[in-house]
Amino acid sequence: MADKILLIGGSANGFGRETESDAASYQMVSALIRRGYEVYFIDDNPYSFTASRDDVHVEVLELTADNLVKVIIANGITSIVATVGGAVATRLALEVQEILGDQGPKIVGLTSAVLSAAQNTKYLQERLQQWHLPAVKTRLASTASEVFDAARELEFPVVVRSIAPQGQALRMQAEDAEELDQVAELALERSLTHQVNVDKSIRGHKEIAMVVMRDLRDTKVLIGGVEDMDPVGIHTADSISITPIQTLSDPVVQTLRETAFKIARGFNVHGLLQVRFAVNPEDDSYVVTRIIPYYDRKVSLIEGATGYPMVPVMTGLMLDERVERVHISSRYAEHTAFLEPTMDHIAVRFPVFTFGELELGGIETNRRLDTIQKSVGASIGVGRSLEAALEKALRAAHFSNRSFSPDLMGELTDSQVIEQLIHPQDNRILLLLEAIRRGYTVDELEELTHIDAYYFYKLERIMKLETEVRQHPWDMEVLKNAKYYGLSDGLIAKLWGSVYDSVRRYRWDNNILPTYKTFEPSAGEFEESVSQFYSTFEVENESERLGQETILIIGTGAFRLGDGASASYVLATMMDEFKRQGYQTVLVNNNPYDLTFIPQLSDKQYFEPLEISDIMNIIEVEQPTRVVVPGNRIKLINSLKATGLDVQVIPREKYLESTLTEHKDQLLYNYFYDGNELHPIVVSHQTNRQIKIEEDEQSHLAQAITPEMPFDEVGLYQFVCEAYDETSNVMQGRMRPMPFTHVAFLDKVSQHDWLRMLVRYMLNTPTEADITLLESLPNFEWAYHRATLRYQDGEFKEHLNIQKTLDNGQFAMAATYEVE
Amino acid sequence: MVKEIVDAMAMQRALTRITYEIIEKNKGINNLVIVGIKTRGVYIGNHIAERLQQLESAEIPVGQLDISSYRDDLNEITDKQPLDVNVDGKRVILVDDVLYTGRTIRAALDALMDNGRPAVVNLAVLVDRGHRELPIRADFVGKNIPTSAMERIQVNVEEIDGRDSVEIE
Amino acid sequence: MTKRYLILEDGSIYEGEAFGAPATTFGEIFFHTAMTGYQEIMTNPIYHNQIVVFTVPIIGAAGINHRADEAIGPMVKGVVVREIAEVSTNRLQTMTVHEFLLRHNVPGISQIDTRALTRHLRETGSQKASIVDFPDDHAFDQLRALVLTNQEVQQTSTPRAYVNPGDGANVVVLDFGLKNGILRMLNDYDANVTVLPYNATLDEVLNLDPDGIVLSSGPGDPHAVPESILELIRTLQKQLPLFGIGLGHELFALANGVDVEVMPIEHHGMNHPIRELITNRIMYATQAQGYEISTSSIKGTDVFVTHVDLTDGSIQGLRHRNYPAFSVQFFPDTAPGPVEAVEPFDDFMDMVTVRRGG
Repeated sequence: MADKILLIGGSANGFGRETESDAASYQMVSALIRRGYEVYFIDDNPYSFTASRDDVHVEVLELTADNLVKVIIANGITSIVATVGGAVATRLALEVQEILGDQGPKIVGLTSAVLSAAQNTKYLQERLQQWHLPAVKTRLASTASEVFDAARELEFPVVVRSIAPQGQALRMQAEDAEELDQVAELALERSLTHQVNVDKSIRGHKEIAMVVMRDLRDTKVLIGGVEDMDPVGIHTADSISITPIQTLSDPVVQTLRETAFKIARGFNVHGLLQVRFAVNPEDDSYVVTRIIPYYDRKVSLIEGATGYPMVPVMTGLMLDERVERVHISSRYAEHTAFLEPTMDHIAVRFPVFTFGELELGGIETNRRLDTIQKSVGASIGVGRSLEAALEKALRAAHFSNRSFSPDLMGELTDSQVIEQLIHPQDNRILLLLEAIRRGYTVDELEELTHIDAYYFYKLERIMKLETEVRQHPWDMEVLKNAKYYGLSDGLIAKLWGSVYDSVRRYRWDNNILPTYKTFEPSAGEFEESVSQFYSTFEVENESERLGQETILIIGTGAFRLGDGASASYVLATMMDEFKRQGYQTVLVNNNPYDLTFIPQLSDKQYFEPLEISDIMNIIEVEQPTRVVVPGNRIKLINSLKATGLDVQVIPREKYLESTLTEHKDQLLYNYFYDGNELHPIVVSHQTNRQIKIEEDEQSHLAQAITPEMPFDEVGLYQFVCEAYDETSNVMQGRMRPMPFTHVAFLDKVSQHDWLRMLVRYMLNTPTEADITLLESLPNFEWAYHRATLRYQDGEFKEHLNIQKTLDNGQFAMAATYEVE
Repeated sequence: MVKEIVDAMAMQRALTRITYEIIEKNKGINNLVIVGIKTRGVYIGNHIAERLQQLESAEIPVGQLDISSYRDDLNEITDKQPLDVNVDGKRVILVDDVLYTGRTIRAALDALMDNGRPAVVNLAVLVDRGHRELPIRADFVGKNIPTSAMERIQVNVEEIDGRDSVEIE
Repeated sequence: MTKRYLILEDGSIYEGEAFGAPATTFGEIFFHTAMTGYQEIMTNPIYHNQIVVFTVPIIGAAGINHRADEAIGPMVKGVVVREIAEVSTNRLQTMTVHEFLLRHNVPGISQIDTRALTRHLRETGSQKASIVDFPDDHAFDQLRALVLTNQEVQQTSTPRAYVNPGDGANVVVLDFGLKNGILRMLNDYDANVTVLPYNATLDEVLNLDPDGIVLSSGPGDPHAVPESILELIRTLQKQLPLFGIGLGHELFALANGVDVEVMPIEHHGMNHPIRELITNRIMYATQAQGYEISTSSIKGTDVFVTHVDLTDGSIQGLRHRNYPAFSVQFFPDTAPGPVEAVEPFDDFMDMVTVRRGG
């Protein structure tokens, strides 16, 4: 009898969670099935890739403790996994344990202690004290006088936090006695119990994260560390993050490593644990700020940057296997699971914000960064120097060539510059460059921003390069140097007053070609036949053409607007189908959390920016027989077609459709286009709050006259019906590629893999069953009477402080769905 | 007030060191038998045996010694078989958690001699807390912890107490 | 931006940029995979006369500070990196890496594809190399003609005894090219340390009334060390707790009749999993290893294996069956390196304390 194990999903995506946990749960399922488990998965996220697997029992239920308990009891679940559903899953696991007690299933790898400590700072601090590990110093105070006693003891600056606050939680920083005077009474009054916590402020300290693995025999391995360029005070997700750690000396790094180990041992973690630290740049003292016992974005970043098989190892360890015995792919050297990864390259993760798009949509937001996350996605840049990695990450985040143009930033007044240095906004990297351009010294900048001076030297270097390039057009040596440090052909072209194509050709003619290196965790010491690459301009190239007949797939990059997660799902599903159809595939993408980077979905992966020049460089190496591109990349598609390549477009609009049609219900007719005719699939409704499919309405579909088809590409399409003539059954409206949000939803609720079928048609190899199915449309067996997708925009509004109604069709990152 | 004076890691190191010393003193593991004094001595003895096995790939027999009928300061009389392993001609390592007055060890030696003819008997203890009332000393000591007679020392083992540590009260 | 070249015995040439001193040097080249601790590595006497290649793409961000020195000045003959940080922002720093090397007349070369170089070296094993101004025939001739000294220990050992005072146990360290980390660790235990030159006599050692002996780490081939020292070790191990590190471990092995061989691929890094056999635990420690104990020659000797490197099975620790004497190949002084590696020092000091009757 197979053991039954339940993975708790994370529900709707959001500011804490992109698709990294989905990528992790997908891989974990494979590892569990290999070990003979019967796997259950509970999630109501319509974009979940894990939930589309047919070897898993999927429960589409709202993620509540009660629903979990129902599923557990109904199916005889003996173990639950709480590490691949973000913070939600860990919270629910604890709740389930409280309800079921000893009768309940085992939470694999984690004790209730560590789950509690992850959510409850006070509890964490108690345990840290027990183990003599440094925590944020804090004192309780009930009167203003006690507040001052505490401040005297802890020394300024301090942060005052109301306990049990009425309304929103209040945290206020006080730099000196005067400020504290203002803050103390206010904070006390805000508290229902007239109490506050006074913490020693760690604002301005360096944020460092360490990720460790531990097994049941107490073997502990440090997988990696991440350093944030921005200090405490800016949410870590909005910060530029770098791995490996750049500015700490060995003794400090070893101390943090040792501390993370002690915490993992103290909580008896089997599997992974992330410990976050704040390090005082003045004296290298540190405190532990929080612990995260689940797979999150930092873990995903380290996994991508080191090439370490994080999920397979984590799965084995949580099931009480020894780290020396965990099964990992034969691509790796045998000891890879317990060799501490060492890197010979640098990876930078750059946050992506959506303010510009919101403004275009008429929504004003405060661009200022603080302790609440505002970024909606991230991109990665990898290189052999920090400058190159930063350059590539910037490019990948779509700042493109605007970055280094003085015009934009040049308009700011000096006081505006200072204001923004102290109170950073989303474009702060541009601002820092502008400040350097205006002659601010490194020391001044460090003082104003608390960013380690090391980074300013690096930014200065980038500026100098830019100037050098501008002053020496078509100079070989300068060009070589610029390419090594990551400047794109496009940027160089701009600086030379030319076009990117000319620069590219010039490079080619002079043999300045990119060299691709592999990501592997041993810095060249051991042979690993892993398949992930990044570009640099050095001597040795490690990437050879994969094969004679390959398909190159262009990913969708960082999440920007509402369809990030669904786009990830679409691409991942299609990639999997290409593989199933027997093709060798190569992926290029730059979003470290994306589903497309799941190793089994492709044969080779490039972590590179998705600009035309970067893609052309890869095409030169791989010479694919076909390139698959998302349809919104119009320029790229044209360039690729111009070179004579076989380009397969995935229909996608350049700009997402707005849904903000006041209280109006939009009627949508959904079609499958096989290249010859449109086959009607379903009628759906959309409002600003939801998408709905009703089984009862489908009879309508047969009657409607199929509209004109203005598109050539095989794909899924949607007709937005503006007017329907009852007598003639002719529709007036507009045909458009089906938005990915709808595609993902459709796949889920129709229990038919439309995307996979689409791939087969793209390859011109539809099965008999496919053809029969299309012919039978619109007669389709619906599994459910009603399916509803609800946009979840609450978090979005809260994080970005948006008062107006949000246009969910464009912006909603998050959705849940239910079926009846 | 209970205070932990030796934590799990330190306890592990102490047992490791004792194991090496045993090998040194016995010039190997030939003919060795470990006899643990109930109750915690047995678990500690097991840990030592485990280590010896890791190192020498040979299984060392571990026996339990029940001395309840031999204590001169207790009034228990039982007819349980005190020793469950053969010690004739063997080099015995007698293991206990704490060495204090020495009376327990004296009783253990009696029990041992009544139930076999060991070639050699060595004593290994995790903690020596001083205050001997008999001329008994340990050959292998994990930790020397001088204490006052008013204090209480408690050795905890994972198997019984859920954790490895030495506490003083 | 002066151009320089790194040339290897096998004919390879790598073009790069100069930093440090403009000197031309020769040495055995090796790669080190640690991501932190470059200063400790450059100043470790074990790397005397060697040219180090760092796999981490940039070094120098933490500058040079004297707490991280493992010896007075750099011991390496050359430093090869992808990039050298031109400025350092660490508060503790007193100078940059460039200045440090310049002062001590050690050349560095940057802008090298160190990953390609590392992958090449892992195929060829260690070889002679040189940092030169012109990669011409003359340079190659000189390189090939180079005979690597076998007087490494003599060159790095202290010529005269000296004391590192403390209130605790009396520990004598035989200096085979000692790194400061060893002394720092002994200081932590408040040991009263006397450092003797490598060729000290038995009387010189015993006259100090030691409670324990440490055989330090050091550079070069253990076979180049005179037989008399092995005899000394054999005598001392019978009487006193003895602890060997690195080269000291290799000498301990030789003294007890175990063979020591050149390693096909050396270990320089801090990420290899090392199993402590007696507890079956896995730990990590810094390694700087060019020679290894021959596993097959252990049988029949009086030592047994205590630690193994799990990536290649190489022996990382030995212990004597009959005496309180043991040794480790890796570096237990954590300068640089993982903190858990210090346990052998704990064990040694425990042994010493017990013997003192404490």
